[in-house]
Amino acid sequence: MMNLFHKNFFAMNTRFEVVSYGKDAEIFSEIFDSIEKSIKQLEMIISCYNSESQTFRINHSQTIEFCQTSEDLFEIISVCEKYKHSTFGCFDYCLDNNFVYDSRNSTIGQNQIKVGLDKSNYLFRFTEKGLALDFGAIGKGIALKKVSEILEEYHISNCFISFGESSILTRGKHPHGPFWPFSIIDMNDKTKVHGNFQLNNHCVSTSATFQPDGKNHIIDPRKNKLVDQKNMISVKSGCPIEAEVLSTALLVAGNEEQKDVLKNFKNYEIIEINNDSKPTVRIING
Amino acid sequence: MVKDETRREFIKIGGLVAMASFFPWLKVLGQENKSKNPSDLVKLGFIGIGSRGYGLMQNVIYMINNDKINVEITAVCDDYQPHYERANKDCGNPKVKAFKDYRKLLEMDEIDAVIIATPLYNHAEITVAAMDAGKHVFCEKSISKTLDQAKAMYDTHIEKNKILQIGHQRLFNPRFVEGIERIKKGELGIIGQIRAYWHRNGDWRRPVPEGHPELERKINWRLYREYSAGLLTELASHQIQVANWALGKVPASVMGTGSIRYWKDGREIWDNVANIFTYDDGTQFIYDSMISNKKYGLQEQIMGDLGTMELETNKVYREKPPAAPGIRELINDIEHSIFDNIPIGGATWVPETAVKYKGEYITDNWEVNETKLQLEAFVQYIRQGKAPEMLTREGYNAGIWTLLAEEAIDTGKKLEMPEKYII
Repeated sequence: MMNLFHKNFFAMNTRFEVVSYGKDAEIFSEIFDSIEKSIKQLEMIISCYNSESQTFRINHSQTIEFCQTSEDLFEIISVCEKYKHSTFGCFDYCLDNNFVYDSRNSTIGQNQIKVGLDKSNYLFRFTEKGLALDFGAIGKGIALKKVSEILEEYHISNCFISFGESSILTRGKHPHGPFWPFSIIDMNDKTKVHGNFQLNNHCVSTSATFQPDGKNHIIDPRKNKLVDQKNMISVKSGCPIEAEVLSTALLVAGNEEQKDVLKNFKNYEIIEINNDSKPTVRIING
Repeated sequence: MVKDETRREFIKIGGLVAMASFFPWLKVLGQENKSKNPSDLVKLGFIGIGSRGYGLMQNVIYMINNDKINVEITAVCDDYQPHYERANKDCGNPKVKAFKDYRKLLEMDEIDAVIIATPLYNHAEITVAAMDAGKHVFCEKSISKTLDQAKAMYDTHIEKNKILQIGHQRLFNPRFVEGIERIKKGELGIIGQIRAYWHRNGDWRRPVPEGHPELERKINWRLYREYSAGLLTELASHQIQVANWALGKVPASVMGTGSIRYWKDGREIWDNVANIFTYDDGTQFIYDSMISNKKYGLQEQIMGDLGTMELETNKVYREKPPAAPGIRELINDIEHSIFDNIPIGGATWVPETAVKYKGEYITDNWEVNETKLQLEAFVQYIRQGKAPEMLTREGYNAGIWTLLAEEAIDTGKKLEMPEKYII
């Protein structure tokens, strides 16, 4: 018997699932509890919607004066700043408040510098009112990074983790093959496969410009407007945060700008599906 | 919210026939041992036509006029003049016989069955007399005012081989039937606790005609211990029935407390009650009812280690989310030594568009007239000559435990069911 383990829980408004094998159920349960606790703690930091979270409080304070943040939140903001820079602003974590809470068009002016940071004292401020922190394009990646650290701590060598089906983290291999064989499926036709990845110690993040109801929801933060194409992008990477950031940033960037963005990243595989008319698939490796 | 069309369609095409596939008590329909042909005219007598009795009668009239069900309201009876006159006028049958003494109605040989909606304290007397007179009986809940009365009703039902259906209409509501079927299949896991409550904010009085204070106890019989156990028999009995049904057993014990906290207007029944029923497996059923606050309304919460059902609002909440289809495939593949693609990559799965998980509906068919459905079933049972025994037992046990809850409050003791009332 291989001691197959499967458990899941609700987090970040979706489901988190673990499939693993090869350890005692008791050890798996301990690891699972540790993962659940870690993700719930993270959610209490970065959720836009939970009124108890740090992010919610900052968003609703609309502070343009420096305010104290926790070290954890400040570190997350710092990581986001780094990826905002490397994606030329295609990824951003500070958006128009109207987009974040009401899905309405922007009403505030354009300002490339949206936040003020005091790194030595973990202080944060918005540069103008009407902005909000939104970690939706990176949050599950940050969570999976924490999960990967827990897996390492417990010496878990074979594991498949799905966070809402859009964010995947793997360790090792499938029990009956040399890797975890992974398919990108069509959003509307779940029987249709657009491409496959072979995953060992990899992550995959999938983002689409549109939701299952067909409405577009990805914002170009540089223009304060919705991306109007119907695209889906899956990114395979060794780092869950990079996979998460890229899957959104590349949707915003468009074909030409993607090349510039990707110069700042390495060791990735990308499957892009354009759904504007007949779906076409583009594969990019780097 | 289910659209009206859905509800109407359900009633029209569904009715009892469609629902028989999953209503345990309707599966008996169509079995042999019919005492009448399906098309035979069923003659009903109504005894007690106050607010509830009048409502039941209106449902039957609707069934006659709209569903073309072959039923006649042959006789009506009420000893309160305004109700007597209203029933006589509104029953839809110009040839109806109207009585003030139920014994006269029971003398009518052509009546197949009676529907009893009198004050609680005389349910037993009329029910036993009706079955002695060869009638099938539908009696409103709760079954009776005393334990001995309930037992006498049950024993007569067995002895005379007559239908005794108690008006616990949730037994005919699709969301309760489906929800409890799913509970029995283990969807909620091990049930540890049931919580139920019924809160209203009002004096629970019915208007007494000006200048006739002598009618107070007759009209407001629910407020006096001689006639009723108040909130327990008139409200809680429904929810005790649901708890027993969900667990498939009756409690092992009950304790409780009650008070007149708010409506200090001369009434005798408690306006504020709380009971704890304990089942033999350790499950606790925590119940309370009050009539001076309505914020929390009415609910039955069935809580297991895998999930919670809130039956009044048609909701089920899982403790854990359902596995993604792709994950289910992966697990199946691993268990069967298959190495195949994991079809899972796509946009983020969300349980709903809402930010917080708000559960799922138990069934789409939840806006139904359960009172009408139970009366439809009663008519079918009359033609059949029998009803599922479980229906009678549900009504009996709910009534017995309602009365034990009252006694537990009265005595301050933790009570068990006396041997002689076990059926």
